[in-house]
Amino acid sequence: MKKFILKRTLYAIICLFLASIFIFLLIRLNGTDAVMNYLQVSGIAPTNEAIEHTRIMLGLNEPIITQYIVWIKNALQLDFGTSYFTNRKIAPDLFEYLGNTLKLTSFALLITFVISIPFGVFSAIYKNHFFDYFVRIFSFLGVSTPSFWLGLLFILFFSVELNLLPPFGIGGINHLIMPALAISFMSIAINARFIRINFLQACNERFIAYAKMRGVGKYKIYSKHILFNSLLPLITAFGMHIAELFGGALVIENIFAYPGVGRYAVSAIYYSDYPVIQAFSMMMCFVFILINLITDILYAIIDPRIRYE
Amino acid sequence: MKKLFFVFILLISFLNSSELKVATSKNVGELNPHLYSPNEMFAQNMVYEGFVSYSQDNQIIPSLATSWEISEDGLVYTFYLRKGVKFSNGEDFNANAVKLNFDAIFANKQRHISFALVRAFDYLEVVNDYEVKLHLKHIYEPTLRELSLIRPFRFIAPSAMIDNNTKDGIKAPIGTGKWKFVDTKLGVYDKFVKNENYWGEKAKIDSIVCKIIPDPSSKVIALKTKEIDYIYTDGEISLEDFINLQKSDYQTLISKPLSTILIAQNTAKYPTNDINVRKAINMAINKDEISKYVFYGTRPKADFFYDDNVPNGKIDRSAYEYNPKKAKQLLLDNGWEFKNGFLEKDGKRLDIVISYIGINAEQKAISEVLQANLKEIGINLILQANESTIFYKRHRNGEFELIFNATWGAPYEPEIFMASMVAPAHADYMAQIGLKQKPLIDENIEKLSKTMNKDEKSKLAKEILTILHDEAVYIPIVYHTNICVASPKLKGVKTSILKYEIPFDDIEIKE
Repeated sequence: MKKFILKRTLYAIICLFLASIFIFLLIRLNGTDAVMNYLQVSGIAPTNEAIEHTRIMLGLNEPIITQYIVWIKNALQLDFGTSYFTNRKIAPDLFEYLGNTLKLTSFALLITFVISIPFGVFSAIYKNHFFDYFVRIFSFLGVSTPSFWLGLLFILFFSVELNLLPPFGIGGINHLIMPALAISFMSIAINARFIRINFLQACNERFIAYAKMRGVGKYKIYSKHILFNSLLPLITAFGMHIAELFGGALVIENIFAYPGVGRYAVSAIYYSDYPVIQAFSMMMCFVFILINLITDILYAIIDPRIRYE
Repeated sequence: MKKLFFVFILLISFLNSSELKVATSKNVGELNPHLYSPNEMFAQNMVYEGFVSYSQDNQIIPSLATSWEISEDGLVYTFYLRKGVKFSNGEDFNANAVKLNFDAIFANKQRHISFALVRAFDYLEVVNDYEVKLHLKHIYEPTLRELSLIRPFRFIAPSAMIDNNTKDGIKAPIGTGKWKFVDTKLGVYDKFVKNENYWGEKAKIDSIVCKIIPDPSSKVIALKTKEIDYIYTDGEISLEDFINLQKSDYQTLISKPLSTILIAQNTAKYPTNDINVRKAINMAINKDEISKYVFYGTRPKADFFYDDNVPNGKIDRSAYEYNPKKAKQLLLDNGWEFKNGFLEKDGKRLDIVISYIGINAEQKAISEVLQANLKEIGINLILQANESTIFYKRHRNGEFELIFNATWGAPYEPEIFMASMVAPAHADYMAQIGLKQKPLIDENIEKLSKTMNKDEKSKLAKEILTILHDEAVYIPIVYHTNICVASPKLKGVKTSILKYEIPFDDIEIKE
């Protein structure tokens, strides 16, 4: 097991290193020019002198390899440099924004599980009944509704019409409800369908038939045998949901004026703010590689066959 | 008893305090008066002042200098400073503060090198506590107008500088302006309060909170849920939302024309190097349609390079009339022939490329109207969407046939803006380079900033604008305006002729 964890961790580190090179090159070789953008946003005429001076000021006059070495060396010490546009150190801002996003996505993940598990389970138990139809329609709508549109609808209904929830900003749990619901809508839909299918599959397994033959009660079969087995694949889905929720947050944070990392990244992309884009991309890679690693290890613990593959 | 009285006074002042809630898209930055992005210009303008200001009727008016004299040779500007002015922290404003600010600005000269005044500046002489002389190396007539710009010639309290410098940041944003910057929360808000030390008429409201709401639709919802009271400037909300708000109780204002949105035609590149092609394009475009359908009537159509309200901007010419038939005839008379629905000459189809910024919805919509208009006269307009930095590179190196451009607005017009036409780094230079009159244009522009004679200046500016009009170098599309939406509870809401100023000073909250 130790060997398995070590091997997987080593893979993760290599992945992160390759990602850093890929991100760095992609930003620099995509044909955009941060200097021109900087001058444009600053209202400075792009004279040759101004371009030259700004290039030096932003450290873009050095060869790419030198720029990469300086960046990766500092990034390893969690110093991601200074934003071209806010002129502020990136690390503290990124972590402050990330904290807010984690609060939002954790809440959204909680909502996802709290709603999708009963939806999936009861939809399977009451297959082809009213509740099952309801969940199936809900799932269909959930996967096909854009989160930003849903966000705006929530604001119009709950804030403008009913005056129940604050439409923007950050504060208590009230500020989290609408954005979290908007970004978790798709995950709830996917998860409910997923659990329903797993539950129904588990119902057809032999061990359930044997349990029934042994005279085990219906509710005991549901709770002890079927539910546990149908929820196991959720470990894999967990990683997938985190990705969905982070992706959703990128859009939703703008709609709800929520000061999260998604909003930080979107404005950085808009302004070709290279150091912020790099830091954000690396952070996202780190999060996903870490989640994959945790998922792999958890699975290996639960299912010993995995670790011997 | 004393304590109770104090609490009572605090409570009364709290209940009486008025706060304006404004929607913005990002934090205002550290508010360094001598630096650019991310310092938001409207906020720099609230906190800092310079020697002079620019009035709503295009005049230079006193600000921290009560009066000034210009020497006969035009090389020395003597400023008489306002007495009794204090920075918002109580520090005195005087010649010493002016000197330290100028030293800080010129310690970072490379950063400001695109300003002609920076290049013309020689040295600053302190005569006494309230008199300074600004010496120039050569005559630069728009000096006062450059001094009225929001940055970099505005004054920060010397104690707020770091080692008498501002190039690496400031300790705190302390100015003499009507407002004090008091609080900020990353990505959430910025707060200003009224400067009680202000030397002139104080602001009418007590504080302003700029709430950060990046999404335009969300700003409108914030207005409806009373999270904010006020939205100002261009691009903050969609024009469609603005038109809908016009039908509601909200106050909606459109400013006077501020600048011109135009398309530059490259006179050095086929096929726009042909004056008949340039003129035909000018006559084929239905600008009324663009103003009505793209801008919902919020921006008037532009017939000339400058609107009439720009000093020396009016020329003695009539506009190119919208007449597709005449445009088509002009091309047919000059050797173009119709083949398969498009014009051809020497076996080459009349294809023209228009470059625009891909994510700019307005430019895209205008281009689409142009494409339909030009198709009517047999020109195949090809739409080329660019990433913004690539678009500006095209500006610089002249890799375009038609490209979107804009004038800068007051107080840059016409001399400061025209000066950019001489620099090869601009689309204007590249667009004009094919004209045989280009040397004359450049010569006039050089003279324009060096003559102190008003009549001479007017003559030179008009000559330049007339050549550009006659040669049909530009296609003026619409005059740019700013829009403003305010809650019905506000009074004193108005617009400004300055593109980057938000006129907060007269706003009051009705009882």
